[in-house]
Amino acid sequence: MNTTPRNGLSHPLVAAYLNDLERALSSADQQERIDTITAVREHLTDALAVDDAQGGNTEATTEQVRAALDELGSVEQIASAATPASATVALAPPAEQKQEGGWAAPALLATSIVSLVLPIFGALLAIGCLVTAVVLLRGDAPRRGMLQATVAVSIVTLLITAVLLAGTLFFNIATSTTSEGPVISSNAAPAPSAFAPTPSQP
Amino acid sequence: MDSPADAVLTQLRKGVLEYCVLACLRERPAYGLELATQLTDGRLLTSEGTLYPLLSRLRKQGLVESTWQESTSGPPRRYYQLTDHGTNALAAFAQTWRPFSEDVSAILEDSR
Repeated sequence: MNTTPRNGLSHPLVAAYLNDLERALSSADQQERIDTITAVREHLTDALAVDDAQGGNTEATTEQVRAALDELGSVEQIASAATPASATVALAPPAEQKQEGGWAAPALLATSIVSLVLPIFGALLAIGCLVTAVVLLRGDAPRRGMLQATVAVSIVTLLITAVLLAGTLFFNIATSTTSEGPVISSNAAPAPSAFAPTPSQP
Repeated sequence: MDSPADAVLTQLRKGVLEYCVLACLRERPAYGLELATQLTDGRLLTSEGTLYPLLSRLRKQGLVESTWQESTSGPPRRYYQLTDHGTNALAAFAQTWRPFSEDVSAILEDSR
């Protein structure tokens, strides 16, 4: 006679066990949690169906349910055999970071080289490249040689910009100092006339 | 608290249990309860339920796959079976295990 195994699963002890199992696996890897809960349901369906067939009873008795749950073990034991979700999450970022560093290093180096030939705007690019390269170097990004080259090129760009700015500033001051001479003399020119004796009154 | 022997057994199980599951599937596919009973009878599993997170990982690694088959005593059952990758992994383990266990036994005998 075919049994109706869902009867076993609808037993209050089984329902409570499955609820507890779901809670115990809440911090487990998502796929393992889904697979484990599904497999434990199938296991209980089989375990209680076999018992039903042997006893010739379509309803699993409380003793049969208890025995099946004892064989399965505590929900804590099952949860301790699962991979914690944090373990899978913790593994993911370094892989992403390495991948990011993989293309980031050549891109940064190319950008920093471009920044060498761009006046002013190049300095802004160089600052961006420098900061990103330092951040990646502090992590475990690959192609560290390229990142170190990026740092060097960015610093050279910033030095060149600083020298150019200083030169421009110096030139401006020098130019303005030289151009102020004639202005002073032109202003001074009328001065004598200011002090010139006023024509005598008749 | 676990006895020293239990602690050793726990550590040993961690390394070999997945290959024991693969070995159980070497001859033919098996369903969950069948596998769990076989492994618990052999004292390789502490409780039947701990098999299922392991089976999930083995499927994720592509060592095992599952198919549904009709059952004579109830609804269809999920049967687990080895993949080619699983067969190769089991062969590599079996090849390594024999000399390894012989070396361990020899060392234990020598240190008596």
